[in-house]
Amino acid sequence: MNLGPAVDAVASWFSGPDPAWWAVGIAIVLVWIIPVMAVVFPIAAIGQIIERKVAAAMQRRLGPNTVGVDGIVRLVVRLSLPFLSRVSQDRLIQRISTLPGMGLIRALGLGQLAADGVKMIGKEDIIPAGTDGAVFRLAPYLALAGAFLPFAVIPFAQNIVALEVPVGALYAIAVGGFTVMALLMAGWGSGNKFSLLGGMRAVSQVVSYEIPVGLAIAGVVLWCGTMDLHAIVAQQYNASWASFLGWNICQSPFLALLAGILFFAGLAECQRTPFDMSEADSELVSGFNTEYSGLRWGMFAMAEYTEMCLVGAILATLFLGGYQSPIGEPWIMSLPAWLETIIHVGILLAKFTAVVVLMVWIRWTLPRFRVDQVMRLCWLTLVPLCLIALFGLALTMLLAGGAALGPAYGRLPAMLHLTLSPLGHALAWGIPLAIGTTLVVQARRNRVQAHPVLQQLTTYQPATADVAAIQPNRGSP
Amino acid sequence: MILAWVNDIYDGINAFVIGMRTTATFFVENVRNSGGATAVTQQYPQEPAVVVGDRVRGHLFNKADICIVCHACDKACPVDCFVMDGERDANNKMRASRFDIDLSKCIYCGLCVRACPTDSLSMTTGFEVDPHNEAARFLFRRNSSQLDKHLDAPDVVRMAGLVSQPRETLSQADRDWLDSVIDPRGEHLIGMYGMGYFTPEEKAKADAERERKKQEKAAAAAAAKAAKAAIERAAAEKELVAKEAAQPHAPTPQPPAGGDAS
Repeated sequence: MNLGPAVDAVASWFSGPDPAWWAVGIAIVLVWIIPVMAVVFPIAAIGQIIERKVAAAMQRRLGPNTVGVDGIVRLVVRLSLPFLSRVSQDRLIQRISTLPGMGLIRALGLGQLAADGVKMIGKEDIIPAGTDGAVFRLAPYLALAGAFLPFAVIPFAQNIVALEVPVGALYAIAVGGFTVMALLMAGWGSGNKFSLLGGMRAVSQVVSYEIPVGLAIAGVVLWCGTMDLHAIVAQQYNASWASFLGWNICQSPFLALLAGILFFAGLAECQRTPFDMSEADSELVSGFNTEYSGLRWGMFAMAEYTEMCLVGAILATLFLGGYQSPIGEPWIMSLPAWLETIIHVGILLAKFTAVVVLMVWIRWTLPRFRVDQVMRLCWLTLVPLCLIALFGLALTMLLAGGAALGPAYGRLPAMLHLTLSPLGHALAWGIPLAIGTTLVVQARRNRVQAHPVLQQLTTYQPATADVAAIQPNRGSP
Repeated sequence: MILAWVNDIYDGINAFVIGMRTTATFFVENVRNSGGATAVTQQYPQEPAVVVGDRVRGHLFNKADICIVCHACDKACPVDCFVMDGERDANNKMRASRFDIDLSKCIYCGLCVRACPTDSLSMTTGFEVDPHNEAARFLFRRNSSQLDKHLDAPDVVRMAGLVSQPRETLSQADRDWLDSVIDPRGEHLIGMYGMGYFTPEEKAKADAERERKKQEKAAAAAAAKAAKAAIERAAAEKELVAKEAAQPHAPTPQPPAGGDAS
């Protein structure tokens, strides 16, 4: 097989008009991504704590609440003060771990983070005999890179963005595609049937769901007329609304629909529970990461939570106004610059943490889909809905102008212009909602009645918990 | 077809919302502390232990005043956790001069309790094995060389007294003596329940417990007796009624009050 032309093509692409631009670009990304990672990495780690605490609360447990700082203190004291007697060590540990505030840290399970990290670093890195060495070893790094690199174009505040490229949205989709490669490499390199099945499932699923993701982002690009994420965020601030009403999700019902689609498709791309066929533990042991251990497994876990954060960040940037506050910007603008930056970063973090919590909530609510159900949801529901939303969006813009197009563009008078007049806004919401409601009512009226048993199941109401029945008689002798 | 498609989407969203509401209910309940997570889960090391039940097989306890040092428990024990010595008292009866139970060996199987002919050995509900804990101060750690050291009851009392005080306040002699008998790093965990009642409170508690059990047993026996008597009385009455039926002119006897005790 002659690879000459292909190699030449790639080489000429890299050595275009300015031979080193891509190297400079990579260097800039690497330098600027470090502070971004410093922000995102702890958030991704805290995502695990959020996951465990929310899951516990939904299952009447307490979740991680034992490893406080005292666990770390115990480790440090035991290792570093061996000349003390055990009793003295115990007294010292108790003295430190009963300091005020330790109880809260313990109750929130924050010590679990450090303990998990220490545990994963300390574990043996097992590389089984049948693995495809380089592929197996490289996959976790690629997974983590694919999860982290898109953060380079996410604007965290007015001046905090690692890489301000005019095609940020495209970059995010393209670099996010690394993850598929990593999952396939992990599945193939493990030399394990379960892993391979998991990897193949992951690829089919992620590649399918790239389409709704791409279409949803295309809708926003259509609306805003730019792919620059910073410009998209800036456009969601509108002086005439000066609140969350200016966000893309509130601009048009079609954009709200696209936001929902992007959320669910993103959920599928993260391989989170309703869509976690790639690591379905009841079918495939642990899927593509079955053979991984120690820090390599930890990198996969980290990549998963980082990807959740990424979906949250993209959703927040494209639809939820990015780093802007929901009650308008002037009060932030009047603050000193450093405070403004901190508040903006905090607002973005809060937004995507909320999305992460929603993902966790869904994980502990819905059971896993079957493979065919996942595919059907993508191709027969999300993609048509995306197309409908795109069509509606284009129609809206044609009639009344969008955020990117001036009032002059719309075929309707400026009074009905979407981003300027409340009337136009009301119409842009009212007409599609009326049509949609009519459709749903008609559909409900003409539906085929389900089997009585199925009806009973779908109308199930959970009984309120009888708390008294499970109260133990505490303190009895 | 389109309507069916819309209906499918509606059904999906509806089911999704119901599911999310269900889990949200649980979440809110538990966050508000009314749902039972904190009520059900016991934070044992941080909070005092809750007694799990009366039939828990906890630490062994030997009543030294009943024990006859027959070694039945020693023979029954699958792990050899007993170390005991006996001596004759003034009435020429055997009594324990030493009765150590190595709780680091004990597997809490209860075979010794079954074997005990005098019911002096029993299992308590105590399960804490931290010798530094005030609640379990009759447990001591010993190293192998200290394991053979003979301790009389006064020694044990002295030891319990010394251990319950802060080490800094002890005299040098006391401290040395304590170090020769117990070793906090030793691998044998010794429960010295065998040397009698260490404090008046312990004795009162054990006595009250024994008295309560005795009364319960007596009450149960009385109830069983009453039930048996009631059954017999009912049988006799039936016989009487049968006899009455044979002689219809005789007056019917009144049933005794409270005859339905069974």
